[in-house]
Amino acid sequence: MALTRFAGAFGVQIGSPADLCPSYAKGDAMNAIVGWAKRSVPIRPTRVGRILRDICSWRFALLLFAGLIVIYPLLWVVSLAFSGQQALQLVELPEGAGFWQQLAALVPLPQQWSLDNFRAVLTEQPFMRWLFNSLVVALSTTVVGLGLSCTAAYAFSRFKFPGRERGLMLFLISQMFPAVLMLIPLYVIVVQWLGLGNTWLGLVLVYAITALPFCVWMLKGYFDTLPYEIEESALLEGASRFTIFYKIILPLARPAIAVTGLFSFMTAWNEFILASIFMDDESRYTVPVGLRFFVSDYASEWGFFAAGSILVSIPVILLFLALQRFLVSGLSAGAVKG
Amino acid sequence: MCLGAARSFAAEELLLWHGYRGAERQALEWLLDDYNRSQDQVRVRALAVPFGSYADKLSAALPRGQGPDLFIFAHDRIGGWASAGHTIAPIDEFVRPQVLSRFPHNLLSAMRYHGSLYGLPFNFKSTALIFNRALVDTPPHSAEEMIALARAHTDRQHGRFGLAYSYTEPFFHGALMNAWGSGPFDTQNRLALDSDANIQSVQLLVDWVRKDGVLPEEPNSTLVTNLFNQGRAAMVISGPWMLGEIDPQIDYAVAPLPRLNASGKPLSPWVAVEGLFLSPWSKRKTAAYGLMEYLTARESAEQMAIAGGQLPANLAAFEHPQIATNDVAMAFREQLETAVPIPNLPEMTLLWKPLEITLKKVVKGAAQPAAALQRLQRDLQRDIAALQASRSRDAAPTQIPAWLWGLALLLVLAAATALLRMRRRIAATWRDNRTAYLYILPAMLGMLLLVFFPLLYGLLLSFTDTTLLNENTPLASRWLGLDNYVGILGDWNLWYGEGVERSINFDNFYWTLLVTVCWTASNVLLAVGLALLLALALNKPIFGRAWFRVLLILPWAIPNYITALVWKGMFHPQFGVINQALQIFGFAPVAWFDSVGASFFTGLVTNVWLSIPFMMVVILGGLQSIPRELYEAARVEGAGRWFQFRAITLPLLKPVLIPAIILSVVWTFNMFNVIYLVSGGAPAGANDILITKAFRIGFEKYQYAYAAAYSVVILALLFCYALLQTRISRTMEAAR
Repeated sequence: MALTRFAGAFGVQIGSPADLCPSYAKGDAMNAIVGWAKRSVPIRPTRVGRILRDICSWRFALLLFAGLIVIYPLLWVVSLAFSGQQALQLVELPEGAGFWQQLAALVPLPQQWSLDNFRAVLTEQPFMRWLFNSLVVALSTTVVGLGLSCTAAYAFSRFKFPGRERGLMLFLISQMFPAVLMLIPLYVIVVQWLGLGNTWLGLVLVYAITALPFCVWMLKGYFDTLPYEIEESALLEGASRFTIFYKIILPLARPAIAVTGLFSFMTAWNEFILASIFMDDESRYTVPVGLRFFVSDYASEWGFFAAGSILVSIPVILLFLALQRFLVSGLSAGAVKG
Repeated sequence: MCLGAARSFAAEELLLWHGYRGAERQALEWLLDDYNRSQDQVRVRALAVPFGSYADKLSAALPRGQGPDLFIFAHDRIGGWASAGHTIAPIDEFVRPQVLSRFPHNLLSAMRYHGSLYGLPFNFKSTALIFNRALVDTPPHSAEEMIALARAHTDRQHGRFGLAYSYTEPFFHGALMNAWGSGPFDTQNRLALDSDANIQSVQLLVDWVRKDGVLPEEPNSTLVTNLFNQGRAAMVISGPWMLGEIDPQIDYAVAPLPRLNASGKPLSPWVAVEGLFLSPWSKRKTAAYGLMEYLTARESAEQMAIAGGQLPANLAAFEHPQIATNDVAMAFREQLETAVPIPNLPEMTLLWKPLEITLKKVVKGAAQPAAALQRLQRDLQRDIAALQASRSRDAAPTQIPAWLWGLALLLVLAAATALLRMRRRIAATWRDNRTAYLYILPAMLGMLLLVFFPLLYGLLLSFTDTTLLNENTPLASRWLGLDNYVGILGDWNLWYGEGVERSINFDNFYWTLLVTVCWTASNVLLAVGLALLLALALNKPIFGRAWFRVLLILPWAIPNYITALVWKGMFHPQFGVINQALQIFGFAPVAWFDSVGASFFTGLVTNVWLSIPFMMVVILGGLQSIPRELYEAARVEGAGRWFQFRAITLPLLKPVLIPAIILSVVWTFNMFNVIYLVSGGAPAGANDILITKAFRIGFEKYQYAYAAAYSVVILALLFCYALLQTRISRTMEAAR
C-alpha cells in the first residue's frame, strides 16, 4: 500500500493532465518534463548503430521468436484466403530434399494467388452492410460499457461504503456462470419482456453488461494507482466530485480506458450466437453472423470464411493502431504530450 | 403502383426460416418471389439463419410462441421437438393423399414420428461412392472388391490411400451398420448397439483400418476433400455437399455404395432429409401448408435441383431432361433406393458423440468392438432411462413439498422484518454514501436484470429434473430437490472395469475437475508469464516496436473459430505441419489426440496462443502507471534489473494484474471453444473440462437440469477461488 502511494506521488506524467488542470498538477508536470529531459541526455548513437544494437538484443530475439509463432498459424489463414479455394493443399515433404528445402515446404503458400474468395464474400452477401452494423453495435457497446464501468469503477476505487467488497464480488460472479445456459433466459428477458428483439439496443445492452465486470475490475485497479493528492487539492479548491472524475481521473486513466474500450469492442465484435438469435431481419445481422453462413454441418467454405475473417479483423487492427499510443510509454508518449 | 402497394398491405405475411446460402438460397428466393407474384393472399418473407445458431434460435423462439410460421430443417430432430411439445405441429389434418404420392416411402417415413406426419420432405442428402476416374475406371460391385481395389491404391508412406471417408463419424458408419442389421435401434425402436449386427459392422471397419490399412488416420471432411483433390485418395465416401469443393481438374464419377457380400445386403448409407415444418403457433397454418405444397411441387423441385443443386424429395423432378442426363444427380437418386433415413427418435441425439468416441477408440486398437459396444450400450441405456424417467414423472405431477413453500414464506418474512427494523440504518447508509451508490447504480441495474435473473433461472433449473421431454411442463411438476447435486458430487466411480481392464473413468466429475484445474492453472500461468515477458520487451523503444505490437495482437483480432481449427489441422498426426516439422528435425511424430497428455498439450498451446495478446495489452496498459522516476532512483541506488522488476514493476503492476488474473482464471475455467474445437475432449472425453461436460450433458444428452447443476457447481468453485484470491492478495498487501 505504502509503495503504491509513493508511486502515486510520482505518477502524474502518465498522459500528463497538466493541460487540463494546470493549477493542480503543475509541479508534477514539471517533474515529468525534467525526467524526460534527463532521459534524453545520453549521447545518441547513429541510427544504424542503434538499429544494430536493437537487433542484437535479447528483447529483439524474443519478439522475433514470438512474432514467428504468432504469424505461422495466421499464415495458413491468409494463404487459404488468397488461394481462391476452399481447402488448402496438404503439405507434402519433398522426397530426398535437403533440410532447408523440407523446412521451406512447411511454409503455407497457395498454389496460385487469387482474390476470388474475397470477391465472393463481398458480393454474395451484403457484407459491407453487416460490417457497418457490427461497427455500430460494437462502438455503441464500447460507449455504453465504458460509461457504466468508468462511473462504477470510480466509486469502487474512491469511496468507502458498505457493500463495496460484496459489490465487486457480485460483478465477478456474473462471469462465472457458463454462457451456454444463459441463452434461453436472455432471450426471455430481452425479446419477450423488454421487447428488444430485432433491435441493436438489445444486443448492445447485453454485450455491454457482459463486458462490464472486466471493465469495472480493470478500471478500478487502475484508478487505485492514481494519486489521491490531486483530488484532495481539487476538493479543497471546491471542485465537485463529478468535475474531478471527469476532468482529472478520466484523462489520467487513458491507458486503462483504451484497454477496456478495446475489450468492450471485441466482446461485441466477434459474438455471433446472440446476434443471430435476437435478429429477425437479415439487414440487421452483424458480420460474425454473416461469416457463419460459410460453415455448416456437412460442407464448409473455409476459403470464404478465412477471407471474411481477415476482412473482419481489419477494423480491429485499425482501432488498435488508433488506441496504441495510450498503451506505450517511453520517449514517444512524453513527446506527444509536450 | 398504388394498387400493388395496397394489395401487398392487405396480404398476410408468412415467415419462413431456412439455413441456405449461395445457389440454394438464390433458387429458393426465386421460387418465393414467383409465389408472391402468383397470388395476393399471402406474402412470404424468408430469413436465412446460419447453421451454427439455427437450432438454438429455433429452440429459443418456437416454444415461446415466437419465430416463423414454417421452417426448413433436417429431419433428425423431429422426435425431440415432438416430445418437447410446442415446437412443431403435425400436418396430418391438412395433407392431401395426392401430395404424399410425390415422395418415396423412405423419405416420408423420415417425417413421421409416433404415427403423425410432421412435415413434407424437401430434399435429401446421403453419401455415395465418389471415385477418381484417372485411378479407378469402373466402380466396384462389392465392398470386398472395393477394399481390394483400395489396397492396390494405398501407399501409406507417401500419404496415398485407396479409400477415404470420415469413418469415425456415426453418420458415415451408418452405411456399415445398415448393411448388417437395422442400425442402432431394433425394430421396436429399442437401443441395440450391442447387437451382433452392430458388432460385426464395427469389426468390419476395424479390419479395413487396421488389417487392410486402406484408410487414413484421424479423418475429417477437410482431409478427405484434400486427399481427393490431390489425387491421393482413389475413392471417397461422401455426399453431394462435397461436389462443389472438388478440384475442376479431377475427373470424377459417383456410384451407389456397393453390396457387402459378407452380409448379402448393400452398404446402405443414412440419408438426411430436409423437411418443411410447421410452427404450432402459426396463425396461418393453412396458408403455410399451401406454401409447403407449392415448394414441393414438381416445378419447384426442378428449380431447386437445377438452379440450387439440391436433390429434391419430389422424385418426379429427376425426369426433367436436364437432371436425367446428370450422372451425378442420378447416381445419388439411385443410392436413395437403398438409403435409410437417420432414425428421428429423440434418443438418437444422445448417441452421436458417444458412438463417435467409441469408434475412434476401437479403430485405434484401444478397445475391442464387442466390449466397447456393450459398454456403450450400458451407458446410453442409463442416459435414456434418465430421460424417460423425467417423462414418466410428469404423468403424475408432484407438488412442491409444502415445507418448501413454508421455507420461502419464512425467508420473505424474515427479509421484510429485517428491512423494516433496519429501515433507519439503511436510509442513513444511503444518505451517507449517496454519491457512491449513484455512480454504481446504472451498472448494478444492468447486471441485476441481465445477469442475475438468468443466474436465478439456472439455479432454479438445477433443482428440477428438466429434460427435453418435460421442458414445457410447469416448474412444480419437475421439482426434484438436491438430487442433481448429490448425483454430481457423490459420483465416486473413479474407475472403470476390473483387473487389467481397469482404467480411469473419464466421465467422472472429479477427474473432469482435476483436468479443469490443471487446464486453468497451466493456461493462466503460461499466458500471464509470456504476456508479461512480451509486454516488458515492448515497453521500451526497440527497432520495429510498432510492428511487433500490432503483430502480437493479431491472434485476438482474427475470429478464433478459424484459428482454433488451423491449430487442430496443424496437430493432425499424419498431415499436420507440427509432426512434419518434428520429422524434419529427426524426431518421431506424436499421436497428438491419442493420449491424455498430448491432447491436453494441443489445447494448451492453442489457448495460450489465443490469450496472450489480450493479457499483453492489459499489461502494457498497466505498465503505464509505473513512473519512470522510480526506475531511475533504483538505478542510482545500484539496483539490478531483476531487483527493479521485483521491487518496482511487479508490485506496481499488481492492481491491474490481479483482476486480470482472476478474470482470466474464470474465463479459462469456462473456455468452451478451444477444447470443443481443437481436441474435442479426445481421447474419449478424458480432456473435457467441466464446461464442455456440462454442455454435453445439456445439449447432447438433453438433461438440462443436470447441466444447470453442473454450472452451479462451476460457479461455486470459481466463487471460492475468487474469495480466496482476493483474501490472499489483501493479506499480502496488509503485510507489506
